[in-house]
Amino acid sequence: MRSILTIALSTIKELYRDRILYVLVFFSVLLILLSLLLSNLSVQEALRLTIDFGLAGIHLSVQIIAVFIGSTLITREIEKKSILFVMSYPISRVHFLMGKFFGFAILLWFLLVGMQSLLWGLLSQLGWSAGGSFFAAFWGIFLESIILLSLTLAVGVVAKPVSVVIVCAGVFLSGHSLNSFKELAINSKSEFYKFLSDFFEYIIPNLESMNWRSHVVYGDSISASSLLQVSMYAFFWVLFFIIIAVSFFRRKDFV
Amino acid sequence: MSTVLEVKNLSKEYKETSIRCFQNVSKKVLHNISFEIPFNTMTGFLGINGAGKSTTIKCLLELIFPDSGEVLFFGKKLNSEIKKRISYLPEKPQLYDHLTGEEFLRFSLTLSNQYCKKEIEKCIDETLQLVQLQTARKYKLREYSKGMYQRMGLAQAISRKADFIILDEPMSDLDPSGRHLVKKILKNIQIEKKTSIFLSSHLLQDVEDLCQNIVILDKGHTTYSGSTFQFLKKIKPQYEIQYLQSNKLEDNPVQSLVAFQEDLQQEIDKLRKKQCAIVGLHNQNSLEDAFQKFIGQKE
Repeated sequence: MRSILTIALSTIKELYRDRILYVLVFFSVLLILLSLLLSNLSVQEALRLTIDFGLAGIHLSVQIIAVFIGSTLITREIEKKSILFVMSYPISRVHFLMGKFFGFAILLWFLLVGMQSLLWGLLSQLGWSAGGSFFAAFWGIFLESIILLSLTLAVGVVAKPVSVVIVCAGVFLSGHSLNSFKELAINSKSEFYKFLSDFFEYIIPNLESMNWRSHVVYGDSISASSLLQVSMYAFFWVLFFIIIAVSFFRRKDFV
Repeated sequence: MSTVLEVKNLSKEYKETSIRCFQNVSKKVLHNISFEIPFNTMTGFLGINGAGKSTTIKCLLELIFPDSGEVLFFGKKLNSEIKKRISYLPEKPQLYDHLTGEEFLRFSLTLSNQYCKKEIEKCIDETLQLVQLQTARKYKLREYSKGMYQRMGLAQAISRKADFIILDEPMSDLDPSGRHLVKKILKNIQIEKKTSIFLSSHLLQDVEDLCQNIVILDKGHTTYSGSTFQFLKKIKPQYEIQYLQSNKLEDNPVQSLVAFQEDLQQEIDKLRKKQCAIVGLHNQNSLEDAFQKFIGQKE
């Protein structure tokens, strides 16, 4: 446990001192501020536009940070060969991987809290008060980001960062299209499309199920049971991808 | 149990799939190598570039998994308890550049799981003093010079409570005074802490100065494993005699001939009879010369 914590803290420090993170965060903040400008386009829908655009901007930028930085999290250690001295310590490969995952996940959480506070502050200025769905929407964004992060680790231990980004982009797009595809399959009444839709549901995480942003926009509430159910679903996928990452990483040669 | 490390029939083949040709390209780098390292000794690990030294070291620490063979540290297979007793400095170490010197040592000592917080701070001070990096403790490692970086790599290896230290080219990138310092540190560690050291190096003079034993690797085969003294004895010692054709020092160019130890006196007598002036006698029995001869014989 101590070794996981040590690696996690070192990962946070490493990323916190990385310029790439600052560039990505800068663009995220820019997107949030842009949502405020967009609110001027419509007088009646000003608040709704700010919420919608602000949440979408945060959602997209957090996923981009998770994928882009996650894709180099392990490969950077292997290519730079810093992994050689770390792995000579009494620490297992599983602990190292877990430390990296938790370190970045904690950092993502703090980033998200920062962005949430910024958006909340802006919306408060417009006279809006946050409800439970606002916080649930952020929890959903976080769940999605850790699924993508664990996927970057699973792919990153065997592939180059470019391939990791391509795979994650594919999973991101298809994960958000699963519901639409299912609807299409039901409407088409084709058994083949139905089979395909079921098949994709098993192999791709349904990221759209964590999307509660529209609930915030329309002021709908989210039940605790659905929150719990989706969280369990997300943790299952995280665990699944981590197990894949560990199984590859355990037998990897650090040439 | 008198050995700190036993390597038995270690083999490793690198396999790579070539996408262009759809073929498996393989290269066998270690061929059933075996050797032992006794307790409380410093052992040099020698071999030309590509002989398989770094691969062997990585196999020992399971950074690379061998295809076959057995590695035993203190009579046991590598596990987390055994890892606590071993420390390692990789070749051209890549450390965590984003950390400062003291942060890096704090990180490595915490990871070693051997010290409490108070002891860690004490150990950081002592180690930084030992490797003469006290003044650079607050600088990030990416701001260090090559020599400082190498010494910080050594610092993380020697700061741990290790019974066995594996060093892969610890003196590369060091200037003469840096090399002198590292040699002094290693000698002290071996004598005072009774730590066994396995030292891979191309700097044969340093190996000769430090190591009681050597292991020689050639194209993935162990060609010698034993005492340095015996190795030097095994390779017929030679001497270079430098002389002038006459006693007139200003006229003659210096000439030289090489003689084996048993013929040395005879050759000197012959030169004397010819009225030659002997101006120099050089022992060619250094590890560097012996190693060259040994590798030459094998080829």
